[in-house]
Amino acid sequence: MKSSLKRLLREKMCVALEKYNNISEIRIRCDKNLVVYTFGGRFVADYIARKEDIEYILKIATSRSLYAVEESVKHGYISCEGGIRVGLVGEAVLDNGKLRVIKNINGLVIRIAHSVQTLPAEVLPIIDNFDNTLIISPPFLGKTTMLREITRRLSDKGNDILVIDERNELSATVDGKQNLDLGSNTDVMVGVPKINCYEGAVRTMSPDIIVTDEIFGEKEVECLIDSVRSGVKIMATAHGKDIDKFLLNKSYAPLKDVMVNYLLLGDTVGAVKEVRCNCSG
Amino acid sequence: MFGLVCGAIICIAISFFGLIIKKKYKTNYDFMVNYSDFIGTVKTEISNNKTPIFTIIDNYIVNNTNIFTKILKVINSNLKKDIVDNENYPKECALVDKKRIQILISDIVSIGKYDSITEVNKLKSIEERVKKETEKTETKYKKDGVMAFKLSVLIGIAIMIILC
Repeated sequence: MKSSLKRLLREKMCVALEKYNNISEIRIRCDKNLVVYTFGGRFVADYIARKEDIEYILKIATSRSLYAVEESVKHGYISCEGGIRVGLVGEAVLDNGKLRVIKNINGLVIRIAHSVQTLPAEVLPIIDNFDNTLIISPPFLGKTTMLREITRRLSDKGNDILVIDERNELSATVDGKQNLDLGSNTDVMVGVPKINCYEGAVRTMSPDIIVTDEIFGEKEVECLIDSVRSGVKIMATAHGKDIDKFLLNKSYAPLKDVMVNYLLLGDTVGAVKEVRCNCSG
Repeated sequence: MFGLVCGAIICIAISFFGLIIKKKYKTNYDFMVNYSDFIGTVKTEISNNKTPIFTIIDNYIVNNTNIFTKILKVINSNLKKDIVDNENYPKECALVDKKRIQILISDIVSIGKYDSITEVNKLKSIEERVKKETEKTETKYKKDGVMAFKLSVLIGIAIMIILC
Protein backbone atom coordinates (compact mmCIF):
# COMPACT_ATOMS: atom_id res chain seq x y z
CA MET A 1 0.00 0.00 0.00
CA LYS A 2 1.25 3.51 -0.84
CA SER A 3 2.68 5.30 2.20
CA SER A 4 0.53 8.37 1.51
CA LEU A 5 -2.55 6.13 1.62
CA LYS A 6 -1.37 4.48 4.82
CA ARG A 7 -1.00 7.87 6.49
CA LEU A 8 -4.60 8.67 5.62
CA LEU A 9 -6.13 5.55 7.17
CA ARG A 10 -6.41 4.25 10.71
CA GLU A 11 -4.19 1.33 11.53
CA LYS A 12 -7.06 -1.18 11.75
CA MET A 13 -8.24 -0.20 8.29
CA CYS A 14 -4.72 -0.50 6.90
CA VAL A 15 -4.49 -4.04 8.29
CA ALA A 16 -7.81 -4.95 6.64
CA LEU A 17 -6.58 -3.59 3.31
CA GLU A 18 -3.12 -5.10 3.42
CA LYS A 19 -4.08 -8.12 1.33
CA TYR A 20 -5.12 -6.04 -1.66
CA ASN A 21 -2.50 -5.07 -4.20
CA ASN A 22 -2.64 -2.11 -6.58
CA ILE A 23 -5.61 -0.43 -4.92
CA SER A 24 -7.12 2.20 -7.19
CA GLU A 25 -10.20 3.11 -5.18
CA ILE A 26 -11.66 2.57 -1.70
CA ARG A 27 -15.33 3.26 -0.99
CA ILE A 28 -16.08 4.00 2.65
CA ARG A 29 -19.65 4.21 3.85
CA CYS A 30 -20.60 4.69 7.47
CA ASP A 31 -21.45 1.35 9.15
CA LYS A 32 -20.89 -0.59 5.92
CA ASN A 33 -18.11 -2.83 4.70
CA LEU A 34 -15.29 -1.21 2.81
CA VAL A 35 -15.38 -1.73 -0.95
CA VAL A 36 -11.99 -1.93 -2.62
CA TYR A 37 -11.24 -1.56 -6.31
CA THR A 38 -7.95 -2.84 -7.60
CA PHE A 39 -6.71 -3.39 -11.13
CA GLY A 40 -7.95 -6.92 -10.58
CA GLY A 41 -11.56 -6.00 -9.83
CA ARG A 42 -13.98 -5.10 -7.03
CA PHE A 43 -13.74 -6.62 -3.53
CA VAL A 44 -15.70 -6.26 -0.32
CA ALA A 45 -13.23 -5.99 2.55
CA ASP A 46 -13.74 -7.57 5.92
CA TYR A 47 -13.94 -4.25 7.74
CA ILE A 48 -16.95 -2.18 8.71
CA ALA A 49 -16.22 1.53 8.53
CA ARG A 50 -17.35 3.65 11.45
CA LYS A 51 -17.95 7.37 11.82
CA GLU A 52 -14.62 7.67 13.64
CA ASP A 53 -12.81 6.24 10.61
CA ILE A 54 -14.37 8.89 8.38
CA GLU A 55 -13.58 11.65 10.87
CA TYR A 56 -10.00 10.44 11.11
CA ILE A 57 -9.54 10.43 7.34
CA LEU A 58 -11.03 13.92 7.07
CA LYS A 59 -8.77 15.15 9.85
CA ILE A 60 -5.65 13.83 8.12
CA ALA A 61 -6.78 14.75 4.60
CA THR A 62 -7.44 18.35 5.61
CA SER A 63 -4.49 18.62 8.04
CA ARG A 64 -7.12 19.50 10.69
CA SER A 65 -8.11 22.49 8.55
CA LEU A 66 -11.32 21.89 6.65
CA TYR A 67 -11.66 25.63 5.98
CA ALA A 68 -8.37 25.55 4.02
CA VAL A 69 -9.92 23.24 1.45
CA GLU A 70 -13.51 24.46 1.65
CA GLU A 71 -13.65 25.41 -2.03
CA SER A 72 -12.81 21.89 -3.12
CA VAL A 73 -15.13 20.49 -0.41
CA LYS A 74 -17.91 22.48 -2.06
CA HIS A 75 -17.13 20.52 -5.21
CA GLY A 76 -17.21 17.32 -3.20
CA TYR A 77 -13.54 16.36 -2.91
CA ILE A 78 -10.26 16.94 -1.11
CA SER A 79 -6.86 16.52 -2.76
CA CYS A 80 -4.22 14.90 -0.62
CA GLU A 81 -0.54 14.07 -0.79
CA GLY A 82 0.60 11.44 -3.25
CA GLY A 83 -2.11 12.13 -5.81
CA ILE A 84 -4.90 10.82 -3.62
CA ARG A 85 -8.33 12.37 -4.00
CA VAL A 86 -11.01 11.93 -1.38
CA GLY A 87 -14.57 12.34 -2.65
CA LEU A 88 -17.18 13.30 -0.05
CA VAL A 89 -20.89 12.84 0.51
CA GLY A 90 -22.93 14.25 3.36
CA GLU A 91 -25.43 16.96 4.15
CA ALA A 92 -25.19 20.20 2.21
CA VAL A 93 -25.33 23.51 4.08
CA LEU A 94 -26.75 26.23 1.83
CA ASP A 95 -26.28 29.96 2.17
CA ASN A 96 -28.58 32.06 -0.05
CA GLY A 97 -29.11 29.04 -2.25
CA LYS A 98 -25.36 28.46 -2.69
CA LEU A 99 -23.53 25.49 -1.25
CA ARG A 100 -21.51 26.70 1.75
CA VAL A 101 -20.12 23.45 3.05
CA ILE A 102 -20.85 19.74 3.35
CA LYS A 103 -21.48 18.64 6.93
CA ASN A 104 -22.06 15.26 8.58
CA ILE A 105 -19.92 13.56 5.98
CA ASN A 106 -20.92 9.90 5.96
CA GLY A 107 -19.28 8.51 2.87
CA LEU A 108 -15.89 8.79 1.21
CA VAL A 109 -14.39 7.60 -2.03
CA ILE A 110 -10.62 7.50 -1.94
CA ARG A 111 -9.11 7.45 -5.42
CA ILE A 112 -5.44 6.77 -5.78
CA ALA A 113 -3.96 8.33 -8.87
CA HIS A 114 -1.43 6.25 -10.74
CA SER A 115 1.28 7.52 -12.99
CA VAL A 116 1.65 5.10 -15.85
CA GLN A 117 4.75 5.77 -17.89
CA THR A 118 3.82 3.54 -20.77
CA LEU A 119 1.40 4.30 -23.55
CA PRO A 120 -0.29 2.08 -26.15
CA ALA A 121 1.57 2.07 -29.46
CA GLU A 122 -1.42 3.67 -31.22
CA VAL A 123 -0.95 6.86 -29.19
CA LEU A 124 2.72 7.44 -30.02
CA PRO A 125 2.20 8.93 -33.52
CA ILE A 126 -0.12 11.53 -31.98
CA ILE A 127 2.69 12.64 -29.67
CA ASP A 128 5.25 12.69 -32.49
CA ASN A 129 3.11 14.99 -34.58
CA PHE A 130 0.81 16.64 -32.09
CA ASP A 131 -2.36 18.45 -33.03
CA ASN A 132 -5.66 19.09 -31.26
CA THR A 133 -6.65 15.83 -29.57
CA LEU A 134 -9.74 14.62 -27.78
CA ILE A 135 -9.68 11.51 -25.61
CA ILE A 136 -13.13 9.97 -25.23
CA SER A 137 -13.79 7.26 -22.71
CA PRO A 138 -16.41 5.85 -20.37
CA PRO A 139 -15.60 6.52 -16.70
CA PHE A 140 -12.88 4.56 -14.94
CA LEU A 141 -10.97 3.41 -18.01
CA GLY A 142 -7.89 5.55 -17.50
CA LYS A 143 -8.46 8.63 -19.63
CA THR A 144 -7.01 11.00 -17.00
CA THR A 145 -3.98 8.76 -16.55
CA MET A 146 -3.44 8.69 -20.31
CA LEU A 147 -3.92 12.45 -20.57
CA ARG A 148 -1.34 12.95 -17.84
CA GLU A 149 1.24 10.74 -19.53
CA ILE A 150 0.75 12.30 -22.98
CA THR A 151 1.07 15.73 -21.33
CA ARG A 152 4.30 14.71 -19.61
CA ARG A 153 5.83 13.44 -22.84
CA LEU A 154 4.78 16.48 -24.86
CA SER A 155 6.13 18.75 -22.15
CA ASP A 156 9.46 16.95 -21.98
CA LYS A 157 9.71 17.35 -25.75
CA GLY A 158 9.88 21.11 -25.20
CA ASN A 159 6.27 22.21 -25.64
CA ASP A 160 5.07 24.87 -23.21
CA ILE A 161 1.96 23.34 -21.73
CA LEU A 162 -0.70 24.87 -19.57
CA VAL A 163 -2.83 22.42 -17.63
CA ILE A 164 -6.16 23.78 -16.47
CA ASP A 165 -6.82 21.42 -13.59
CA GLU A 166 -10.12 22.50 -12.10
CA ARG A 167 -10.58 19.43 -9.91
CA ASN A 168 -6.89 18.93 -9.20
CA GLU A 169 -6.97 15.43 -10.65
CA LEU A 170 -4.16 15.81 -13.14
CA SER A 171 -1.48 17.37 -10.97
CA ALA A 172 -2.72 16.47 -7.45
CA THR A 173 -1.30 19.76 -6.18
CA VAL A 174 -1.11 20.10 -2.40
CA ASP A 175 0.25 23.30 -0.82
CA GLY A 176 1.47 24.44 -4.23
CA LYS A 177 3.46 21.27 -4.84
CA GLN A 178 2.53 19.00 -7.75
CA ASN A 179 2.37 15.39 -6.66
CA LEU A 180 2.15 13.93 -10.15
CA ASP A 181 4.70 14.54 -12.87
CA LEU A 182 3.33 16.56 -15.76
CA GLY A 183 6.67 17.28 -17.39
CA SER A 184 9.36 19.91 -17.18
CA ASN A 185 7.63 22.57 -19.28
CA THR A 186 4.19 22.43 -17.74
CA ASP A 187 2.39 25.15 -15.82
CA VAL A 188 -0.65 24.15 -13.82
CA MET A 189 -3.65 26.26 -12.89
CA VAL A 190 -5.46 24.48 -10.11
CA GLY A 191 -8.94 24.90 -8.72
CA VAL A 192 -10.12 27.67 -11.01
CA PRO A 193 -13.40 27.16 -12.89
CA LYS A 194 -12.26 26.20 -16.37
CA ILE A 195 -14.40 28.59 -18.37
CA ASN A 196 -12.96 31.54 -16.40
CA CYS A 197 -9.45 30.47 -17.23
CA TYR A 198 -9.04 29.98 -20.99
CA GLU A 199 -8.95 33.61 -22.12
CA GLY A 200 -6.56 34.76 -19.41
CA ALA A 201 -4.39 31.70 -19.90
CA VAL A 202 -3.93 32.33 -23.61
CA ARG A 203 -3.11 35.99 -23.03
CA THR A 204 -0.78 35.72 -20.06
CA MET A 205 0.85 32.31 -20.31
CA SER A 206 1.07 31.97 -24.14
CA PRO A 207 1.16 28.18 -24.03
CA ASP A 208 1.77 25.95 -27.04
CA ILE A 209 -0.81 23.49 -25.76
CA ILE A 210 -3.68 23.76 -23.30
CA VAL A 211 -4.59 20.54 -21.53
CA THR A 212 -7.82 19.99 -19.67
CA ASP A 213 -9.73 17.06 -18.26
CA GLU A 214 -13.42 16.25 -18.68
CA ILE A 215 -14.82 19.03 -20.82
CA PHE A 216 -18.43 19.71 -20.04
CA GLY A 217 -21.08 21.79 -21.78
CA GLU A 218 -21.36 24.30 -24.60
CA LYS A 219 -19.59 27.14 -22.82
CA GLU A 220 -16.43 25.17 -22.33
CA VAL A 221 -16.49 23.95 -25.93
CA GLU A 222 -16.76 27.60 -27.04
CA CYS A 223 -13.77 28.51 -24.87
CA LEU A 224 -11.73 25.65 -26.34
CA ILE A 225 -12.59 26.70 -29.89
CA ASP A 226 -11.66 30.31 -29.10
CA SER A 227 -8.30 29.10 -27.78
CA VAL A 228 -7.67 27.19 -31.01
CA ARG A 229 -8.54 30.33 -32.99
CA SER A 230 -5.87 32.11 -30.97
CA GLY A 231 -3.29 29.65 -32.25
CA VAL A 232 -3.07 27.38 -29.23
CA LYS A 233 -3.35 23.63 -29.56
CA ILE A 234 -5.62 21.77 -27.21
CA MET A 235 -5.86 18.34 -25.66
CA ALA A 236 -8.89 17.35 -23.64
CA THR A 237 -10.88 14.41 -22.40
CA ALA A 238 -14.60 13.78 -22.31
CA HIS A 239 -16.98 11.08 -21.18
CA GLY A 240 -18.39 8.97 -24.02
CA LYS A 241 -18.59 5.49 -25.49
CA ASP A 242 -18.51 6.26 -29.18
CA ILE A 243 -16.79 9.01 -31.18
CA ASP A 244 -19.65 9.55 -33.64
CA LYS A 245 -22.35 9.52 -31.00
CA PHE A 246 -20.33 11.92 -28.91
CA LEU A 247 -19.98 14.35 -31.78
CA LEU A 248 -23.70 14.13 -32.55
CA ASN A 249 -24.38 15.76 -29.21
CA LYS A 250 -25.36 19.38 -29.88
CA SER A 251 -23.05 20.72 -27.21
CA TYR A 252 -19.96 18.96 -28.53
CA ALA A 253 -20.63 18.98 -32.30
CA PRO A 254 -18.62 22.23 -32.84
CA LEU A 255 -15.51 20.35 -31.76
CA LYS A 256 -15.57 18.61 -35.15
CA ASP A 257 -14.23 21.81 -36.68
CA VAL A 258 -11.13 21.96 -34.52
CA MET A 259 -10.25 18.47 -33.31
CA VAL A 260 -7.72 16.56 -35.42
CA ASN A 261 -7.17 13.40 -33.41
CA TYR A 262 -9.69 11.35 -31.50
CA LEU A 263 -8.77 8.57 -29.12
CA LEU A 264 -11.51 6.28 -27.90
CA LEU A 265 -10.68 4.17 -24.85
CA GLY A 266 -12.58 1.05 -23.97
CA ASP A 267 -12.74 -2.66 -23.23
CA THR A 268 -10.05 -2.61 -20.54
CA VAL A 269 -8.31 0.05 -18.47
CA GLY A 270 -5.95 2.12 -20.61
CA ALA A 271 -6.68 0.21 -23.83
CA VAL A 272 -7.25 2.18 -27.02
CA LYS A 273 -10.34 1.05 -28.88
CA GLU A 274 -10.16 3.45 -31.78
CA VAL A 275 -7.85 6.13 -33.12
CA ARG A 276 -9.28 8.52 -35.64
CA CYS A 277 -7.52 11.28 -37.50
CA ASN A 278 -9.66 14.03 -38.92
CA CYS A 279 -6.97 15.72 -40.95
CA SER A 280 -9.41 18.20 -42.45
CA GLY A 281 -10.19 19.49 -38.90
CA MET B 1 25.45 36.66 65.32
CA PHE B 2 24.10 33.17 64.72
CA GLY B 3 20.54 34.55 64.99
CA LEU B 4 21.33 37.26 62.43
CA VAL B 5 22.71 34.72 59.95
CA CYS B 6 19.72 32.40 60.46
CA GLY B 7 17.33 35.34 60.16
CA ALA B 8 19.00 36.49 56.94
CA ILE B 9 18.80 32.99 55.44
CA ILE B 10 15.12 32.66 56.36
CA CYS B 11 14.46 36.16 55.05
CA ILE B 12 16.08 35.28 51.71
CA ALA B 13 14.22 31.97 51.56
CA ILE B 14 10.84 33.56 52.24
CA SER B 15 11.56 36.39 49.80
CA PHE B 16 12.56 33.84 47.18
CA PHE B 17 9.29 32.00 47.81
CA GLY B 18 7.45 35.30 47.30
CA LEU B 19 9.45 35.91 44.14
CA ILE B 20 8.38 32.53 42.78
CA ILE B 21 4.74 33.34 43.52
CA LYS B 22 5.14 36.65 41.71
CA LYS B 23 6.86 34.90 38.81
CA LYS B 24 4.01 32.41 38.60
CA TYR B 25 1.50 35.23 38.30
CA LYS B 26 3.73 37.00 35.75
CA THR B 27 4.23 33.81 33.73
CA ASN B 28 0.49 33.16 33.59
CA TYR B 29 -0.15 36.77 32.63
CA ASP B 30 2.48 36.62 29.85
CA PHE B 31 1.04 33.30 28.73
CA MET B 32 -2.41 34.86 28.41
CA VAL B 33 -1.04 37.89 26.54
CA ASN B 34 0.65 35.57 24.06
CA TYR B 35 -2.43 33.35 23.90
CA SER B 36 -4.50 36.39 22.97
CA ASP B 37 -1.96 37.41 20.32
CA PHE B 38 -1.90 33.87 18.93
CA ILE B 39 -5.69 33.64 18.63
CA GLY B 40 -5.67 36.99 16.84
CA THR B 41 -3.06 35.68 14.42
CA VAL B 42 -5.04 32.49 13.78
CA LYS B 43 -8.20 34.50 13.15
CA THR B 44 -6.44 36.80 10.67
CA GLU B 45 -4.70 33.95 8.87
CA ILE B 46 -7.90 31.92 8.48
CA SER B 47 -9.95 34.93 7.51
CA ASN B 48 -7.47 36.30 4.94
CA ASN B 49 -5.52 33.31 3.65
CA LYS B 50 -7.31 30.19 4.89
CA THR B 51 -3.88 28.99 6.04
CA PRO B 52 -3.93 25.46 7.52
CA ILE B 53 -3.64 25.45 11.31
CA PHE B 54 -0.32 23.57 11.39
CA THR B 55 1.25 26.12 9.06
CA ILE B 56 -0.07 28.97 11.20
CA ILE B 57 1.41 27.41 14.33
CA ASP B 58 4.72 26.59 12.60
CA ASN B 59 5.10 30.20 11.45
CA TYR B 60 4.07 31.55 14.85
CA ILE B 61 6.62 29.40 16.64
CA VAL B 62 9.42 30.53 14.32
CA ASN B 63 8.63 34.21 14.84
CA ASN B 64 8.23 34.13 18.64
CA THR B 65 10.23 32.52 21.44
CA ASN B 66 8.65 32.44 24.87
CA ILE B 67 7.03 29.97 27.25
CA PHE B 68 3.77 30.10 25.30
CA THR B 69 5.43 29.13 22.02
CA LYS B 70 7.39 26.38 23.77
CA ILE B 71 4.08 24.89 24.94
CA LEU B 72 2.56 25.51 21.52
CA LYS B 73 5.44 23.67 19.88
CA VAL B 74 4.77 20.58 22.00
CA ILE B 75 1.01 20.74 21.30
CA ASN B 76 1.67 21.15 17.58
CA SER B 77 4.04 18.23 17.36
CA ASN B 78 1.59 16.07 19.37
CA LEU B 79 -1.35 16.95 17.14
CA LYS B 80 0.67 16.16 14.04
CA LYS B 81 1.01 12.66 15.49
CA ASP B 82 -2.68 12.70 16.44
CA ILE B 83 -1.85 12.83 20.15
CA VAL B 84 -4.00 15.34 22.01
CA ASP B 85 -1.80 15.78 25.10
CA ASN B 86 1.18 13.91 26.52
CA GLU B 87 2.07 16.66 29.05
CA ASN B 88 5.64 16.54 27.84
CA TYR B 89 6.30 20.24 28.29
CA PRO B 90 9.70 21.82 29.04
CA LYS B 91 10.53 22.39 32.73
CA GLU B 92 10.27 26.19 32.50
CA CYS B 93 6.59 25.77 31.58
CA ALA B 94 5.78 24.31 35.00
CA LEU B 95 4.65 27.70 36.32
CA VAL B 96 1.81 27.90 33.78
CA ASP B 97 -1.53 26.64 35.13
CA LYS B 98 -2.26 23.23 33.61
CA LYS B 99 -5.89 24.26 33.21
CA ARG B 100 -4.84 27.06 30.86
CA ILE B 101 -2.79 24.63 28.76
CA GLN B 102 -5.78 22.29 28.59
CA ILE B 103 -8.01 25.15 27.40
CA LEU B 104 -5.39 26.10 24.77
CA ILE B 105 -5.29 22.49 23.54
CA SER B 106 -9.07 22.25 23.35
CA ASP B 107 -9.21 25.57 21.46
CA ILE B 108 -6.64 24.38 18.92
CA VAL B 109 -8.32 20.98 18.56
CA SER B 110 -11.65 22.70 17.93
CA ILE B 111 -10.19 24.67 15.00
CA GLY B 112 -10.48 23.22 11.51
CA LYS B 113 -13.76 21.34 11.58
CA TYR B 114 -15.85 23.95 9.78
CA ASP B 115 -15.77 26.42 6.90
CA SER B 116 -13.83 29.68 7.27
CA ILE B 117 -16.85 31.86 8.13
CA THR B 118 -17.84 29.59 11.01
CA GLU B 119 -14.23 29.28 12.15
CA VAL B 120 -13.72 33.05 12.20
CA ASN B 121 -16.95 33.56 14.17
CA LYS B 122 -15.87 30.89 16.62
CA LEU B 123 -12.42 32.47 16.94
CA LYS B 124 -14.00 35.84 17.69
CA SER B 125 -15.72 34.36 20.72
CA ILE B 126 -12.50 32.59 21.78
CA GLU B 127 -10.67 35.91 21.38
CA GLU B 128 -13.21 37.63 23.63
CA ARG B 129 -12.90 34.93 26.28
CA VAL B 130 -9.10 34.98 26.18
CA LYS B 131 -9.09 38.78 26.38
CA LYS B 132 -11.24 38.73 29.52
CA GLU B 133 -9.03 36.04 31.04
CA THR B 134 -5.93 38.09 30.19
CA GLU B 135 -7.40 41.09 32.00
CA LYS B 136 -8.12 38.90 35.02
CA THR B 137 -4.57 37.53 35.10
CA GLU B 138 -3.16 41.04 34.70
CA THR B 139 -5.14 42.23 37.73
CA LYS B 140 -4.05 39.17 39.70
CA TYR B 141 -0.42 39.70 38.76
CA LYS B 142 -0.44 43.40 39.58
CA LYS B 143 -2.36 42.97 42.84
CA ASP B 144 -1.72 39.50 44.23
CA GLY B 145 1.64 38.76 42.61
CA VAL B 146 3.32 42.01 43.58
CA MET B 147 1.66 41.93 47.01
CA ALA B 148 2.79 38.36 47.66
CA PHE B 149 6.37 39.34 46.90
CA LYS B 150 6.25 42.46 49.08
CA LEU B 151 4.59 40.54 51.88
CA SER B 152 7.14 37.74 51.78
CA VAL B 153 10.00 40.25 51.94
CA LEU B 154 8.34 41.98 54.91
CA ILE B 155 7.73 38.67 56.68
CA GLY B 156 11.33 37.68 56.01
CA ILE B 157 12.63 40.94 57.44
CA ALA B 158 10.29 40.62 60.46
CA ILE B 159 11.54 37.10 61.18
CA MET B 160 15.11 38.28 60.83
CA ILE B 161 14.49 41.11 63.32
CA ILE B 162 12.79 38.70 65.75
CA LEU B 163 15.68 36.25 65.55
CA CYS B 164 18.22 38.99 66.08
